[in-house]
Amino acid sequence: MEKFKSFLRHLRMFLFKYRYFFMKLGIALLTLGAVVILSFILIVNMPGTVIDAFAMQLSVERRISLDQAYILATQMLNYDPDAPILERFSVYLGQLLQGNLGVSIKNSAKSVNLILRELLPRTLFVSSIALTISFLLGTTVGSRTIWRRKSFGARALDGYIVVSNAVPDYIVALILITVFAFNLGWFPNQGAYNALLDPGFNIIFILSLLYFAFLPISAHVFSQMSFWSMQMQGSALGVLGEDYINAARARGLPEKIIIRKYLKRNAMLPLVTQLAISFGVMFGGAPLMESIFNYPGIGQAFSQAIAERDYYVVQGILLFVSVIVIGVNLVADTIYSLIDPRIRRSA
Amino acid sequence: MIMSPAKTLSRFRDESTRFLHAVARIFFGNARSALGTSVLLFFILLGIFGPLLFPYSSEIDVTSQLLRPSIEHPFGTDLWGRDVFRQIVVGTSDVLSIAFLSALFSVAIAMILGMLAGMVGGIFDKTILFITNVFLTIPSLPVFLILAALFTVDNPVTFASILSVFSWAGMCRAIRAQIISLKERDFIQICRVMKMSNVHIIFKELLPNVGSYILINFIIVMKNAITGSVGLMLLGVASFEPTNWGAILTTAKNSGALINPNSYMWLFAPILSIAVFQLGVILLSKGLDDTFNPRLRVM
Amino acid sequence: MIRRSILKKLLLLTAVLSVSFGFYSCDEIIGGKTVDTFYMLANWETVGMKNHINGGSQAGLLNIFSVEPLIQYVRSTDEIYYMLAESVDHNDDGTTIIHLRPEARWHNGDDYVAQDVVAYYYINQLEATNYMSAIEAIDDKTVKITWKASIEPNDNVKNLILAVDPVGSVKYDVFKTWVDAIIEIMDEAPAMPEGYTGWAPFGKIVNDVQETAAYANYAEFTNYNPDWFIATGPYKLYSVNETDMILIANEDHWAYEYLKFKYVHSYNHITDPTQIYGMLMSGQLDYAGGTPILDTLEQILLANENLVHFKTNDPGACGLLFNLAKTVSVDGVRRPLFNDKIREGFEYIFNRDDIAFIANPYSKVTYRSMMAMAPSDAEKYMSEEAWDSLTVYSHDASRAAELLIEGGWSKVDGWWHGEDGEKLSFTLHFDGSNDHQARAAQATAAQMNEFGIETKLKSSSSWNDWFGSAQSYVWSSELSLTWTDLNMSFSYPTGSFVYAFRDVSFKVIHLPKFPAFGEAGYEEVPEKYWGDLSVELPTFDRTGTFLLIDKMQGLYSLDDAEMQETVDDIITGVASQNWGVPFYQNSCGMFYNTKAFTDLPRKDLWEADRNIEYIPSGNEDDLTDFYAFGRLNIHFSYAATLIDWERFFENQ
Repeated sequence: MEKFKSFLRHLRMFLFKYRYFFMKLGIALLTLGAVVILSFILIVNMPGTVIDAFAMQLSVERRISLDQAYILATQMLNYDPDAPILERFSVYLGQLLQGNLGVSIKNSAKSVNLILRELLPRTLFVSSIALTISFLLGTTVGSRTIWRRKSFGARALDGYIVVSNAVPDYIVALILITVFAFNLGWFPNQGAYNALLDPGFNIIFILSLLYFAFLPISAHVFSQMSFWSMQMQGSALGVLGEDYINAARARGLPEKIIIRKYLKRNAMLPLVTQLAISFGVMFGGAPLMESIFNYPGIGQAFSQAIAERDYYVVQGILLFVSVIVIGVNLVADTIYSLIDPRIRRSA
Repeated sequence: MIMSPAKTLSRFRDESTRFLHAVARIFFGNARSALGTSVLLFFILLGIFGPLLFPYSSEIDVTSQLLRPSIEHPFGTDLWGRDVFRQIVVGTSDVLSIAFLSALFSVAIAMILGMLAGMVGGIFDKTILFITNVFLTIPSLPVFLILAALFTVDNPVTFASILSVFSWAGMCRAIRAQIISLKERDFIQICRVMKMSNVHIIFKELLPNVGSYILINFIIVMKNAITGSVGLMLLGVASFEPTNWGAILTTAKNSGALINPNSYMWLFAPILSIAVFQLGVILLSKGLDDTFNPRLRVM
Repeated sequence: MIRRSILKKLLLLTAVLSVSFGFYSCDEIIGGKTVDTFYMLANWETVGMKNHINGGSQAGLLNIFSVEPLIQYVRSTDEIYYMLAESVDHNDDGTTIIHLRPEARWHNGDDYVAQDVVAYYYINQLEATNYMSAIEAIDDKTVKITWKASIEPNDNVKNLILAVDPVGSVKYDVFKTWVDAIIEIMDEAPAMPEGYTGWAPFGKIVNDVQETAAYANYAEFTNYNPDWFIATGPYKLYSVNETDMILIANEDHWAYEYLKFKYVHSYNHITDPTQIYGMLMSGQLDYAGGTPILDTLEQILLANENLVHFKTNDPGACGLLFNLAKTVSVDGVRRPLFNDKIREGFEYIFNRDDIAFIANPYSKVTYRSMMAMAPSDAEKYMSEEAWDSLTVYSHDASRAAELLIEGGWSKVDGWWHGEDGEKLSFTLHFDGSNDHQARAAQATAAQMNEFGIETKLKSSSSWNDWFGSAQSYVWSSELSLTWTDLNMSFSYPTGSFVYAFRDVSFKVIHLPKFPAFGEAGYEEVPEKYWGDLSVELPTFDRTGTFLLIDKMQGLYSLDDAEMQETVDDIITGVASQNWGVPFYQNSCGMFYNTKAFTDLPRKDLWEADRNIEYIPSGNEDDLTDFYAFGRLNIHFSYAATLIDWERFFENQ
């Protein structure tokens, strides 16, 4: 009894001590619940049903009339488009509780778990490398040019920003493909690795992965880097002229050190939020880019599931991405208060 | 106190000259902003008077399909035999108003909610965090598909509102974070101690400090709106406007313009327009920074 | 310091790249492009592909080259090739005897037997089974079908019906549990009443309990995933990943000696036109469907001297469809927005030559009104007299204006106003994923605006999205640009009527219907018409009228003379209503690599001009080319394209 009481007391102290964190966790869970319900309502209300979409596919594949295909689709799907939302939601929740993120309505062999297992590594491979490179390059270039606003480097960066803001990412991708894959023949135009290789953890296969990922990563970096350098510039402008920077200057510290240790570090704060969001969104893949490079990833699977109105797959992928986005934001908020003690004080 | 009409007038004249001076200082204060302003003015004038100077006819002419650039057709013609330059000119006003409005809407929402959340804190802050989380994770594609089945947007204001719904949340969080960090700094604390009003703190102290950041994001949202608006058109949420720059770009791309020298200009004309416009916006924003950012003046 | 670290990264990157580049170069010797491989595009399930095509997953090349039907028909020409069946005899007593090829085998080596055919038809129960009263295995290689006496199709249609189903996809041994279960259910089901014409596979009508059991059984069947891909066809699965699928010629196959390639290699889900064009130009593809715009087509052919581009008639025409559900309120009375005069007037508004040329320069322009059948087919199946009686409209703006004014519209300040005096503003809705229709839509809207009818465009991202909103009563647009008629299966004059009046068009046009059960006034209508189309049309000889859905019944059972009479009645009747304004009959295009596919037809033509502008029409003088070109479309003729039939028939 005593032990239990002391346990309770410790628990209360623990909860109180980290109340900031638990509060955030509570909000995160609440958001997740809201998002799951909201997106389910949205998805179920999308015009057209899985049967319509499937019937069209069958009628083309089997060379039968749409009417026939519709009958076949109804037989194959064992799915009632008129079932109330609540019923469908409970089916979905039931699956969730068993650890299934959802199984495709039209193909029982295709589950969200399988999609994530097979395709998420591919998406993350390309997106995380691209995000890292463009973040590091973008913030470095951004903070250095803000220091010397009239230098050649700053002008060059402005030029690059103008160009990359004007050319949409899918055009960048297509230009890269046209030049480097079709005209020069240096890189493959599509795919994730050489089809004749056996996937496995060996140097040849990894090199093949890198080789095939080069153009997609380049396209991502080209169009994302300007975002980060602009964000960095915007944020660094707010830090310039702070006392500590003037003090550092007065102390005669070398410029590089000031940029790296004082300017960049302090300007990074709002970028952490954006980075967290980008990191979370990354898990959802980049549908357009993936489909242009035919890079089999989550984004491609997601847009296909939308086109096929495959509700459970769409919902499953969304749930996964939501968990990541919300979780990452939670982590970012926490990291934030660690980097910047002022935030803890106000909370 | 009663002033004579003459005095009022002269006072008014003074005020207005001062105002004009101020405006001139903002927009033409230095080389960058002068250039940026000129580019933007050019586009605004193009949007208003361009269609009168270069009247556009959507009439199709199969005999002049995909002509290369010439004096008569500076940017060549498209697949329907229509002048691409005039298409760009006619599209200007819609493209720019959609871009400007959606940037305005999303920046305004993000700024107001972000600053309030940062300043007020407490349950209000938590609610806003909740809402931004929802907007960050709600999938846009299903929403667009539903909207497309319900109606077709054909005015810039609604168009811009739909675009901004999905672009404010991230910015809002970033602004909130900055405000929270700023408000604990010494100069704000001093204001607090001096019992200065919140209005003063927000507008005179905080805003200038996040101004550059907001300006940059304004540009980013604008850019996204120009290239993103065509997505809404392809999904059917908005009516497909063949003179929209994004629509020209996509139509050209899908016709294989990237591999066909005859239609390079069809593809690059909208890109070029966006680039020049971006140049203007970026120059102006840099110029504004030079003029207004207290930090830059110190240096 | 930062600069140094960036430099390091760059160095590393270069090193990695050069190594991998070297590795890539040597890989071309290992695999790469060999003469014996045929390269094309196909779509299959990136993850979770099932090992049978009835499992609900997309199977890509496997669906095209691995799964065989009894008879392969070529969509657009109706030419047939015997695949699993060696011969099919239609007897006078209403039975058909199918002799399977003695050498037909499953990919695992087992014999393909009659019981497998029976299993396919029992488990899938598609349209063919509705015409059968029984199907049985006489011996291992012989199947007997007894047709329903009441709706027995003619011999021509029997072949086509048997050609539709990919029967080489259900192996009885593998799916025994579910096949036996459904056979038991069907055996117990009560027979249909005498003279019944509704849906009754094998002449049986299942009760509710049996139906539920059958559905559950079918779901279990589709969910089953065998450990090898169930198929019999000329190509077998060699390897597959998310982006590449390679098939290898099946040595056990009866046509192995006559296969044109050892391997077929396909790439998955490549949809961007620039990608496809680039792959064609750089020689990565030996085949691709589609016709790019003229300029681009010429650039592609210029870049790769091995490519030729063939065209065939597409069994469908595209144009404008009216939405008859739209009304206008005049003095408090609701009247149709598009009345007879208005619709007739629209036929004169357009310069259809221009629209057709922009949509697809190799399409055939048509100046008739909507007929529910592609013009080339209509000409073939109608009597000459009836075909000549169809009104041929023209581009005549003043005639159009006259008719619109007669219909109650008026032109004020250059813009047309409706019967209620309000300025008209229409939305033209099209499927943006269909490239030629998207081009036609822009041209159409431009011509309407020029004529003075304000028209905006609305695009949908897929055919399904377009159809979903176009068939809704509440939110649909006034006009659609889509197929005014289309044939999704065999050309025999029924396919396009099915598309128009049972599947798609009538829902988009919103043709009037009889009340359904429970709706106001349903008691006054005979039960068989409840909820069906109530359209009545004048007969061809103009002596009376007929109910459209009456004529739609039993089309397959008609003999040639009756068929022509029916087709004449339906087409002239539909054309008299001006439900739509077709602009062009589309053509299908195909790129082929002459170095890979060495026996392409009409070498004389493509040696002169690799962009072959000649499209055989199917008349008696170009029948050979008509069939040869039709067979080139892999998506219309499947495995039949890759078999050297000439040599095969020589050696038989």
